[in-house]
Amino acid sequence: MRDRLPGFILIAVLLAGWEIASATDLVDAVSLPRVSTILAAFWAGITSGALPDAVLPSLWRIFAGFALACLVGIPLGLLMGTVALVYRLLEPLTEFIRPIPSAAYIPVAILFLGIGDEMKIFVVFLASLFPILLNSFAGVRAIDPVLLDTARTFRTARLATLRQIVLPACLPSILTGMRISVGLSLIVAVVAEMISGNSGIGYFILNNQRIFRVPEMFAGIFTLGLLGFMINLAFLRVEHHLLRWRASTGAA
Amino acid sequence: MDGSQTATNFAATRAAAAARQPATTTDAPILSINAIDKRFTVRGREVAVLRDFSCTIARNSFVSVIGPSGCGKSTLLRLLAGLDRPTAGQILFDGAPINGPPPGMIAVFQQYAKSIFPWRSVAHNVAFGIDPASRLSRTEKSALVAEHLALVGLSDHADHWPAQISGGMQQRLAIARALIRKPEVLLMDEPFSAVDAMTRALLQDLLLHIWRSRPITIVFVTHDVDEAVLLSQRVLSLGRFGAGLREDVTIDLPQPRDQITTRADPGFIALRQRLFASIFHQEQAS
Repeated sequence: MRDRLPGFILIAVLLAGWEIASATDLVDAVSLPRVSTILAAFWAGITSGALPDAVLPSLWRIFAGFALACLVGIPLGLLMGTVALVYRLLEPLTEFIRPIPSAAYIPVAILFLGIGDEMKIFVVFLASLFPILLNSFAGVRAIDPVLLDTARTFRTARLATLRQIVLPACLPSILTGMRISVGLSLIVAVVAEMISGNSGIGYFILNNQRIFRVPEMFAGIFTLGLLGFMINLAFLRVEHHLLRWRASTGAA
Repeated sequence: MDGSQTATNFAATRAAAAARQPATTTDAPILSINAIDKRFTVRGREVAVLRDFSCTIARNSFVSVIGPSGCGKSTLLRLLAGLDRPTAGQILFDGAPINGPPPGMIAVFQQYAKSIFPWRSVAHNVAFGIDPASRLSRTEKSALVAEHLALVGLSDHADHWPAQISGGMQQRLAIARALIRKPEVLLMDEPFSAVDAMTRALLQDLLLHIWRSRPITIVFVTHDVDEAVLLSQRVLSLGRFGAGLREDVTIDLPQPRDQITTRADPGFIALRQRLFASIFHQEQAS
């Protein structure tokens, strides 16, 4: 935490500068309210339950879409990396779909799934899928042949090789893919909520902007920042634990 | 307890046998290599690494394969291990043809650091070698692991990650993982080529101890003539690019061997000189 201190000081300085600029009318205080006003709106949003009510549906969509993407992307990526036919079958398709910005799926998804949770979960799923899929695949391809020869000389069964050797060997790159996807899923969920529907943090931000409740709008944006920060922190914790064998110094 | 008893008895028997007649056995050979060819296609051109190669390896013997790079010694080891297939001919293990890695045989690779599992602790790596078909209880397994960790001197590092131990320790870990499977044949591909000289000497004596204390056939690939003479009962010297067997030398130095006494033996020096000169002249001629 100590090495994070300079970064937090910078955030505090920037917020203080913002507060002063807004208080002295250096910037338009209506479009850019004081930080203290925003924090008050943030606190009010929490105590009234308006912010939690907005955040919870978003979290559910992110979690569901991301979990589905893991369930599909990891096995499919491992399969693409181990079975040449699956690779040749899916590689052109993924290369075609992957560059399309996830937000572009939303109109199509609305046509098929409406404007409810299904559509949002689907879009989050699709956006999260490719980083997980492609990193899992890359992880398998990067496995050292010596590791697989070791599995063969010990006559390790196919499934045991997958579970005991391939999966742990790919874990670092799978986790990299998952971390990219977590960030993407947050973005896509918010965009989808802004485009359609009447719930979620994305809707909360856009709606408050429309009715000129600017401090509340900023409170929503702050919440997103906080949410992203906490998700990433939790992810790093999990990653650190799962990859603790990488630590090369000190006693075990 | 029971195991060490057998081991001691075996060591006595082996010492007696070695005293009588070192590298010859009347038993059927454990490995018979019958007229194998191995060709690779390199950029459209076919290259023969092994051509009409035949030899047999006696049960419980220690055989080293030496030769310049490109002589096919590592290829031969992969064929013996069942990791690759010969282009022609066949290899028999206990009379049965090898198609894929057979039970009773374990290969130890040169790149030990890549063959051990970094996500498993040292003890857990060794446990990987236990035959899944052995159906041992948890306590029996951990006793077996402890025994093998002690054998290679890693008892104090059981709970370390592989990244936390030295290269020499990693190779000892790979050996312990191989031995816990109780293989009849241990195939080793330049296992000590990546460690420093002192670690190498210690590993050589460890391997001699292992070979003395249990019935095991070791086929050892190396480019180091001294190492081959020190360890083996028999040295096969291969020529470059499919030239085949150049020398087949019986090393009848007294057992048990070790770094200090064996290396000082005039017989060791003579054999080492003879084999070294043979390879050196081949290298000069090519």
